[in-house]
Amino acid sequence: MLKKEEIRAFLGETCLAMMVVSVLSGTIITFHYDYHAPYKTTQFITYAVPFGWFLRRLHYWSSEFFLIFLILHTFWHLYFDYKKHSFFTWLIITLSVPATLFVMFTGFILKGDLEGLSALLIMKNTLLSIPFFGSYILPFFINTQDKYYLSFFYHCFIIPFFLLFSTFIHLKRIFSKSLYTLCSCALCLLVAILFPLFPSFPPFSTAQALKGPWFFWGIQEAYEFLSPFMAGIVMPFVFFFLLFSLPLLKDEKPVRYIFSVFVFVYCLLSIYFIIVI
Amino acid sequence: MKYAKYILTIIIVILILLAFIVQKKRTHYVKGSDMCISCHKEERDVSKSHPKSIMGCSTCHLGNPYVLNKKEACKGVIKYPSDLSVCEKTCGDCHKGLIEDVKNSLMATNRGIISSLLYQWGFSSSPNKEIDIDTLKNEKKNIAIDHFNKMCASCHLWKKLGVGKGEIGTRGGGCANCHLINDDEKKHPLLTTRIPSENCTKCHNRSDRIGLSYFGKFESEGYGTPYENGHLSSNRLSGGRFFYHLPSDVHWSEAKMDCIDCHTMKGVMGWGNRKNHLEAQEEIQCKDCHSPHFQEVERDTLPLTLSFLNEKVPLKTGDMVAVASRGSLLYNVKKVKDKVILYRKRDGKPIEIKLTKEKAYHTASYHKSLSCSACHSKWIPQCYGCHEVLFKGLKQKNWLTQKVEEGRWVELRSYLRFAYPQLGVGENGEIMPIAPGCQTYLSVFDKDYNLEEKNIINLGIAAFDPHTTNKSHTCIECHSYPKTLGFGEGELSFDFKNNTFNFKPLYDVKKSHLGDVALDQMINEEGEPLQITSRLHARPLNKQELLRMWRPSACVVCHDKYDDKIYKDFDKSFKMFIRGKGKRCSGSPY
Repeated sequence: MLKKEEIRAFLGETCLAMMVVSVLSGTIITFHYDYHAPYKTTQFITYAVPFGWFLRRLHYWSSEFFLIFLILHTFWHLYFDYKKHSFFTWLIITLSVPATLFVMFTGFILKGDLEGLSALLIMKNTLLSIPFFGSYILPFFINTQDKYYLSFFYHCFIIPFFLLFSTFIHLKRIFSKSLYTLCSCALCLLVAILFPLFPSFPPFSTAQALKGPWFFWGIQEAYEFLSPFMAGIVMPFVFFFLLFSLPLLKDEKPVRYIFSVFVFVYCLLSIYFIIVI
Repeated sequence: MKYAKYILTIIIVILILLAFIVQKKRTHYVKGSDMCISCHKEERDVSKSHPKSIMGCSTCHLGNPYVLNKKEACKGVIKYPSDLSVCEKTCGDCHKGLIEDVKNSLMATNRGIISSLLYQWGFSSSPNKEIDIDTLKNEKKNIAIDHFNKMCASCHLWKKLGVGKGEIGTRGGGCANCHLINDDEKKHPLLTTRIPSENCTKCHNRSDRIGLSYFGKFESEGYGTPYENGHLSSNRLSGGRFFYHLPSDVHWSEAKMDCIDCHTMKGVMGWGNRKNHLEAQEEIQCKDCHSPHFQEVERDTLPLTLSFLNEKVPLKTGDMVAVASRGSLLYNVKKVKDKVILYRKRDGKPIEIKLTKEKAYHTASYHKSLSCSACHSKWIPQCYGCHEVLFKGLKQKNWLTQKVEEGRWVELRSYLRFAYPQLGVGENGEIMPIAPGCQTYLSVFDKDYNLEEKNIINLGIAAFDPHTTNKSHTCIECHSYPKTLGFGEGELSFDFKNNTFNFKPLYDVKKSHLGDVALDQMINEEGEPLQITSRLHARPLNKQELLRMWRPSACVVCHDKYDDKIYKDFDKSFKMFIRGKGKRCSGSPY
């Protein structure tokens, strides 16, 4: 029977290994990517660059695994193996969760396809829905001249370095143990060979229904019932505010319940979204 | 666990090798303007101005040019990109203005055909009704519209290319209707501005039959004569029709000129606004080449572009080119030293144009209202009496809806003639050839094949240039022949004291049971029209014009030279003749 610590280590180390694979594969892709023509270059990488298809799949699947293991690692830690950190350390570590979601979201945008373009539009309108400050915040995320530029900048430079930094703060190293690394590599390679990426709609095409990234489905459905500000800003902010403030609380149990309800509702929303679409 | 790392390393190596194998099997990218070329590398350039290396496939055919995956790449591909329903996204992406012009041109709207048909069949009070193919669905249904939908609507630019069998299948498709050359079934068709005449005649071979007459073909009755070794004539047209060889237009017989050597871009593709009839859209006239005036070609102007696209006609900045009646520059008609040269668009062959001679027969005041075609048209196809039969119990395809609907039309005719043109007044006021168009007898059979109604819808005539240009008729052929005057075949006499005509038609109209008027008789003895025209201002000759034309009919027998002194003041000569004061002839020769 595995011990709690072993499970935590497995989830954490795998998460880190996946991140490393994602960063390395993404770094190679960056050399061929041009944010002026995102869709064209993405497809060029897939079909024209030698092993481009493989690198994109590797990057996609390792990132997906990274996010899944990060969520599992966070919740495992929160529910079964909670250990108090200093507020600053905790903040840096937990900031990696929204940072990872954001880097995944920008990655989704940077495909430059119709879904990516729509995601960018949703992000723009959500930011603009922030009362008073929306139009001031927007330029920090979307450059009006080059709409993909800042997504590219955050995705390739800011966030990966922050993730490496938070990892270092967390573990005092940035690579996982060799066995986990090899396992993760093997898994990513196998999945990359076997499973192609989902077909995308060209930006000049039309589609009846568009899906955001899977972790965004709940918010996408929430847009149906709530205002963009509530669904896209307030709801995630409350969730992460609770997560960040955990070390400041005497008892984390009420927060666990709130999280449970939150996650349950979010999952329901996501499922409902998929059924509806 | 001891060997786990080694096993995992071996697995990773194997997986990387597998990736190499998959890479080998993938479609290899071929550098080009789009990824379509990677699979379609064998395709040839469509034209010099549409090179595969720059435009690829997707510029015209759409689809997804960025993927090398058949299913995704070919999603949204348009087989016929110049189809008018999609061409704004394809051809129109580069040729924006032209698409608007073409969509409003007569070949796309068919306004002339529809409005004339409704007018002549009595469903409209004017032949200038603003009704087009795209607005036809809003019109209240009637028998004329049903006839158009099933018999005429297979011939317009909105028609889908490839729909229909044989010749019909080659019609339509927007820009491709004219600009496509399908010279090799296995290869991609070519695009050209050197449009072969076959692309025009695939449509323009009925009604006025200009596309046949120009090349010396006359659509004969459907008997298939003269028989050849016990078989029907091998001179066949589309739809099982037959033809005879007659003298072709001199522009073809002498110079092998194609339709596009005269007909300009604007004349064919329109002016951007919707015109009612052909004469409003057409801009070329005989005098544009035969009595030309010139204009210098300036830098970066349309004539240079057209010459570049044509590849055969030489033209450079500063050349003097002829100007068409509505201002377009004829880039293939150039002044070279003292000569006027037409460069044949097909191959660039220079042909010297014979200029209009400043002789009496051209400059005489009494001929000033004549169009060139009035004298120079050798013959005109005359299709008398068209029997249109509607069988309500049968079904036929509606070309507009592409659905098979109740009611089948059958068109029967057997009285076809080629003869000197009859003369009348065209829409522009000029005297010009006039011919049946259309004389319709309509029979409707109900679902039990009982005759429902039988009535003559109309006897219609139309003025047009038959495109059988040749040496001019003689004076007698025009002035003395009752058919030319509009009376038809028969015996014409004139009472010069009372200024009245007496005409006995050759055909016994009463016995034919085809109405009260002989099919070739356009006017009565008072010069009143007996048949309607397809234009508001076109008509047969009136009494005054008939008298003017008839008066010299006896004189021209002897005085057959234009510079004869009796024609210097013909009114005076005629009065002297009537009063018996002529030196050699007097009295009534009629």
